[in-house]
Order: sequence, then C-alpha cells, then structure tokens
Amino acid sequence: MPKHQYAMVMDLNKCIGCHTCTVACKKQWTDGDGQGYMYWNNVETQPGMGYPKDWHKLGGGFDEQRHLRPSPLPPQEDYGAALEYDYGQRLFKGGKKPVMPHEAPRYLSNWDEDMGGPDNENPYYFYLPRICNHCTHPACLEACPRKAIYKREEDGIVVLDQNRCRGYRHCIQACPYKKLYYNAVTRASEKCIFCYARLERGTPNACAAQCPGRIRFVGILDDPESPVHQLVTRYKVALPLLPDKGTHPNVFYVPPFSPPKTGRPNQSVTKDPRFPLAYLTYLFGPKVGETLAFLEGELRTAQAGGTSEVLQLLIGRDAEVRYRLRPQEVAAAAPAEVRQRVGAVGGGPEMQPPGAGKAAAAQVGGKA
Amino acid sequence: MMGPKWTLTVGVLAIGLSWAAQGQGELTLRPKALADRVTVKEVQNPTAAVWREAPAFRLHLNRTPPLHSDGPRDDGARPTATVRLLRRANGEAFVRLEWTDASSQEAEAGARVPDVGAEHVYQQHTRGASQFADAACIMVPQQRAPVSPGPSITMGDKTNPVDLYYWRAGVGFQVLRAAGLSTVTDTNSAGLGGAARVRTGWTVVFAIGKAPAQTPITFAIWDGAKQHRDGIKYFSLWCEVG
Repeated sequence: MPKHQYAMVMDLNKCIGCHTCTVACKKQWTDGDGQGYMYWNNVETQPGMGYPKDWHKLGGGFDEQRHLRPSPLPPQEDYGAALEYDYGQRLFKGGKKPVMPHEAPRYLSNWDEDMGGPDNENPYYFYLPRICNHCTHPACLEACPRKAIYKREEDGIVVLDQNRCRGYRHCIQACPYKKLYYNAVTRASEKCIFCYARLERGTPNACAAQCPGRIRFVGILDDPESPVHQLVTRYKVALPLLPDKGTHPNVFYVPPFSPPKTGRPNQSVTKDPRFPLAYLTYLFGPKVGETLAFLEGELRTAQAGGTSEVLQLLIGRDAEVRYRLRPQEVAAAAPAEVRQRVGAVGGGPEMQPPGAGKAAAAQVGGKA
Repeated sequence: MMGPKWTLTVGVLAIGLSWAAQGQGELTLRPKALADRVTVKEVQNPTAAVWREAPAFRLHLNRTPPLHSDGPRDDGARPTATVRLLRRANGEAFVRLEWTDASSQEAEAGARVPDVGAEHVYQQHTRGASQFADAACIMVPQQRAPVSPGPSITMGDKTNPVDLYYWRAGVGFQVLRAAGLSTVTDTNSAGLGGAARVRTGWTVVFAIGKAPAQTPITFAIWDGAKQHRDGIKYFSLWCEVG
C-alpha cells in the first residue's frame, strides 16, 4: 500500500463542458506521434455514450470474488480518429472550399455532446470530466503480465513503465473506466500520470490548473487539512464513479445537484429531481440520494442567510482552497530520486518552465 | 475459479497428453549442411532455392491455456507449421518457419495524413489501437548445448535462461531474453532474418546463432486476427536440433 494517496474531487455542478481541461492535458502530455486519438482527460455528456463508446457497459474491474471481470478491447472506431483540417488551402492558398476534416468523422470523444437523456418531456444532461481514477485496487495493474503498471509508493499515483510494456493491452480490457490507451507508434500503452511531475513541484495538475469553472480539488486523501479529505471523508459529498467496479477510485465527484424539474420552489430535488435518481445511483452508487439530500439542506441553510462550510469549500474561489499539495511531505516517503527532484525545485505557483513536466515524466519510461 | 498458475499447470498437462495422443514425440529436426559459399543474404531470403534442399518437418502446434479471463476464446484450431534448418560447418544455424494464415495482420506503425496544407501536430496518426500483428518466435536455451533437464517451456527459468528470436509482421526481428514468465527483456539487438507473405500464410527465416546437435528448440506463432499476443498463441513443445 502506498504511504499517501493523492486524490481529486470534481464538482459536477460547476462543470460547464468547455473542454479546457482536455486541451490542457492534450497540450501537456499527448501531442506526440501515435497519441492523436487519445485523451487522458475527456469531458463527456451524461447520459451518453462517452469515450470510448459505451465504456461503462463493457465490463472490466473486479467481481465479488475479486476476480477480474471480462471486457472486450474497444475497437479504434469507438475512440474516433484524430482529425486534420485543411486550413492551409483556405487561409494561405486562396482556396474557396470550406475547412473540412480530412475524413468524415464517425465517432469522437464528445460525439453526443449536449444530447443527454432520452426523456423529451424532461430533457437533462450534465458533463462528466474523466481522468484515470488512480484506483486503490487498479484492475490494470492486476491484469498486466509484465508488471509494467505500479502504484507509486509515495503518493499512490498509478503509472505505467513504458520500457516494460510490450503492448499486450490486457490493462485496457481490465480497466472498467477504459482510461489506458495504446500507442501504435511506440507500441506501448499510456495513461494519465496525475501530472505527478507538476505535483512534485507544488503545481496542480494541468487539467485542474486550467479549469475555468474551478471544479477540481486536489490533495492528499489522508491529509485531514486537504480539501479532498474534507469533501470525501468529512462531509461525504464526493462519491466515486461506478463504485461497483470494485477498484476503489481516488477521483471523486460531487453529484449534479439539479433543480426540481417542475420548477416549484419548495419541491425537494430528491422528490422531483431533474436528473433521475436511478441514473445518478447507477453512476455514483447508492449513497447519491443521501448526498444530494445533505447538499440540499446546506443550500437551504445558505439561502436562509446562514453559513454552510461545505458550500463555501465547494465554491473554491481561490487556489489555496482547492489545492493542498504537499510535495515535501510526499517526498519524505519517496525514493532518493524523487526527493532530489523536489528538493531542487521546491514548491511554486501554478507555473512551470515549458517541457519541465515532460522531462520528469520521461523518467518513467521515456515515452510519456 | 482457478488461478492463473493452476490454469497454466492443468492446461500444459492437458496439452502434453493431447500431444502424446497425437503420436508426435520429441521431434528431431535434421539440418541440411550449408556451404560456406552461400551468403547470409541468400539464406535470409525465405524463397531462396537453397531452402528447397533442406528436409521439411511438420510441427503440430497447440494453443496455450487461457491465462486471462478476457482473452480471446480458443476456437479449437490447431495449426501446423513446416520447419527447415540449414547449418554451416561452424554451427551457425538458420531456421525457416512457414505456416498458413489466411488473414495478414501487420503492426501498424502510423502514417502521416496526406498533406492538407498545414503544419501537422501529429506526424504519425494511428488506427492500430485494437489491432494485433501476426508474429512468430523461436526459443532456444542460451547455453547452446544438450541440456538436461531442458529449460521450462514457459520462457525458460533461472537456471536455464533462453534466447528468443522474435519476428512481428510490420515491425521486424528482435532478439529477446527471458528466465521465466514475465521476464522477457529486449537485448536491443535486431535479429537477422527475412520474411515473406505468401498466398496462404507466412514464410519467415530466422538466424539463431550456433545450434549444435541436441540443442532444444521450440516454436510459437501468433495470429493477430485472433487477437493473439503475450501468452495467447500457438506453440510447439521442445524439439531437438539434429
């Protein structure tokens, strides 16, 4: 077991579906050859098919006996292709053709964006940003015959050693969230590294740092002062995604707190929710009703002029509230190499030299 | 439910019994002597005339037992392969392996999208996320001599490490080493050999270094179209160089 566990909480009530997190991640980590189709961070509309298509229906994870559940390997078409656009002819060569992708898109990571639920009388949807859950019991780790995947002892982040990986892709099948990706150019799989190279410098994850909605909270789950500990353990308003998959995710979500669909001011959201409780329960487990009821109570307190500590925390206007990164503390439990990295640079604001993250990540396997 | 180790043990025993029932005991592969005047380049050509002079041996291959709950199902196919050996006077040996494979699956290395007039962020796009390549491998002990007991069929063992001459369609040849399951490492030296896609399958030539008489040797092929990779493959039991 790792000595500490980094975790993230995303407040779905604040996500506006702008994909800035996705762009931040893509620019930081997946702009290399063979990475065109992969999004370590993606934002999908729920209810919806997601990315890859219908990932949540494929299986994976563990069954009640702690055996890996079977799952097919998603075909390339279910991720979609990386599209190239012929800007050149239009902008520089005097062409009149509209700018079009190089091929007709058949599926993409946000293919069904804003389509939402099937109920015409009560249309509803919300955005679900997803990264690797850095699970306490990672199914990908269990499935890898090469032992190429491990949890970092100092902070619980799940990383993949690309020098050991031989591209068998059992990890992709085993992950119930389908958050590993095969790079056919390097012939190895890749995944979100929770921006550990940034965290070691006291800088939040790229997806969190760039989020305009400030929906992401980052910290060490076992640090009582961290916002993630407060939201997950103290107030219990943040829940894991698909907890029945048995992997114990360390990314948590504050479930979407919808207004009542009838619009009646005194109608409880738990009695007349816009988002069907059954669907939220499917995604976030049986505690979601209790969580929404608690949040509703807090909201009423605030609306009546009172103070709600948890709502103040969830507003999270300032970075100091949203992030509590403890690189020195984590490094104390880390190998000498990490201690040296952290000691040499120290903590800092949400800035880092271009490429610094990649240089550090390269030490995992040289291909991140 | 059985764990992977038990599954493997039972599976290997079952394969061994079925092998014995087929009447194919330990096969001795007699090499044809190769004259020094024949160049390596000529031998590496799978269709070279020199190969027709080498005696052909038929290998009955077996499917490995299921190691993963989500691995592709065994469809019952038990292919055969034809193997021929050439050996120079100094012991340097070449092996030609040919087998039937109706579907050609090459590893996709990525390709640039045809120029659409702008600078590309991604030089190489890929579509190979769910494709697996056809492949073949020859395993011999690192100690090229009669060995008793021989190395474990599952990638050798600590006392008897193995060399693996591995070819993957679309990639080429690699020389790997192993001393048991999950221990494969790349020697970072490119193996020598040649491969040809023929109408009915693949013909691949491997240069396996020195292989004196009684050197144990075993073979494996992967059918990419059946999502074979890792330990999901067809394999032979140990044979012997004659």
